[in-house]
Amino acid sequence: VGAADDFPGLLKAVRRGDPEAVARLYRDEQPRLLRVLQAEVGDAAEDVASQAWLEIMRAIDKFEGDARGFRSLLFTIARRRVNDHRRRRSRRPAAPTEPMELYVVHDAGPGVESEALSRVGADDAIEILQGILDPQDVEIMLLRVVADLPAEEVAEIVGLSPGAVRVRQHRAVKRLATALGRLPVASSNSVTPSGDRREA
Amino acid sequence: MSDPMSSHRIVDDLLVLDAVDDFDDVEFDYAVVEDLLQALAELDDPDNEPSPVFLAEMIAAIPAPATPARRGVRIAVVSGALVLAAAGSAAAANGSLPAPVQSAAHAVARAVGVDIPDGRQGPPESSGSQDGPGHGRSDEAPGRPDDPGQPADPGRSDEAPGAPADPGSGGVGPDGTPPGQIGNEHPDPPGIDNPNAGGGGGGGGPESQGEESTGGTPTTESNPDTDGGNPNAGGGNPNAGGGNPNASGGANGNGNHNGNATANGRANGHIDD
Repeated sequence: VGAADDFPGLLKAVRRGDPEAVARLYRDEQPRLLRVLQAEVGDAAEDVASQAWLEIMRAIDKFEGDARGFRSLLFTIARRRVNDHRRRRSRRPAAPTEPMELYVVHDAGPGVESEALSRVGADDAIEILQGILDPQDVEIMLLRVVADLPAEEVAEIVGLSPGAVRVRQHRAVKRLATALGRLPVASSNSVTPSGDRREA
Repeated sequence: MSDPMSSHRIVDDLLVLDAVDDFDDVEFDYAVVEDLLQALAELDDPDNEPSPVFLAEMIAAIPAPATPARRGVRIAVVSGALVLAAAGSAAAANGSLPAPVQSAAHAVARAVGVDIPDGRQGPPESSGSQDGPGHGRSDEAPGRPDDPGQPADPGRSDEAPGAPADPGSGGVGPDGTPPGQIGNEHPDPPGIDNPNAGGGGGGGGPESQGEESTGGTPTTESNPDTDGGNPNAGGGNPNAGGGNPNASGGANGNGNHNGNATANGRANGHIDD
């Protein structure tokens, strides 16, 4: 955790309204938050993140805990805002979306899957996750891997028991390995994350 | 910003959860998953500085330090001061402060044109005696000993029966203060509102002289001048008849400008203004 070294001092400075301290806290947490939110709400990630930041700043004087606790609270707040966003969006008619083409793997011999995946960016990785896992598993994986939160805190955030989080995470990783290990390798073919091949 | 350990940690967690393994017959290439998770955890976005506007918004959202506590302390202090001032004024007006203090208060108040009793003398026109309970019966507002403790007819204080017998009711308090002037808020120190008012309970009138104890006398129709119409007026509080054991006579004679019932079951005190 970035600000963990002197989090109490940083928190104190933030409570005083020290701009540098606020900016530092933001710098430390915003990339993870944004990454997770991009997976959750896409283009609305920035807006939702801003709402979460303002909300946590309003409650900063009541917060007690360490850097990890702060991050956990930030993601908890962000998740609520995500739910709000989804509720709002659900009231509007959604535009139909095409099935996602994740990436194209060229026939390059054995080990190509791993090589190809090593080149994908974070956005692609999120799309692969979303194509293979159900939404709750995606969320758990994001909170575990991107937010770097322990299973106990992820459980708090998503409303499951820590054991349930571990089980889902376990199954998610195996499902990923299963799907990615079966990725067909064919020149000029589009491959969906679930392993289905579609002609280009 | 990448955390290469994260992806390995996830896989490591996975390996210890054999009990929930649904894929025992599958060979996994965890390296692929690790690469994916590695890509996921890559946080190299250079643009993670808050904009100046948003930074200002965040700072503005931070509550001022300890503001609520300070406000609470301020309210408590002001409230306390007001209560003390009110109590002190009441005591001074009542003449129940210690004599030197009362004298000082008298002098100060006199300088500003307010008349409060001097500690060295009884309150002006104080009725009743100071020598014991049960004095201060008013000729004008006699109690009705034969009708003890009848509940008041709400709103008719002039007929309000006294509360159950109040031993030591009907006269002036032990300190000679006139009864029948203290509202419920001040059951003991009488005379706060109008030191000239007569005894409460059994001795209600302004000229009442407490000479005989009407202790235990339920005081009905104690004062025809009482503000009627207050359903609480008079001795209608049947529970209040016990009186104040510490007070005697009219010390328990209560009443106030509202003609409210007294805590001691008096017909009421009286404010004849």
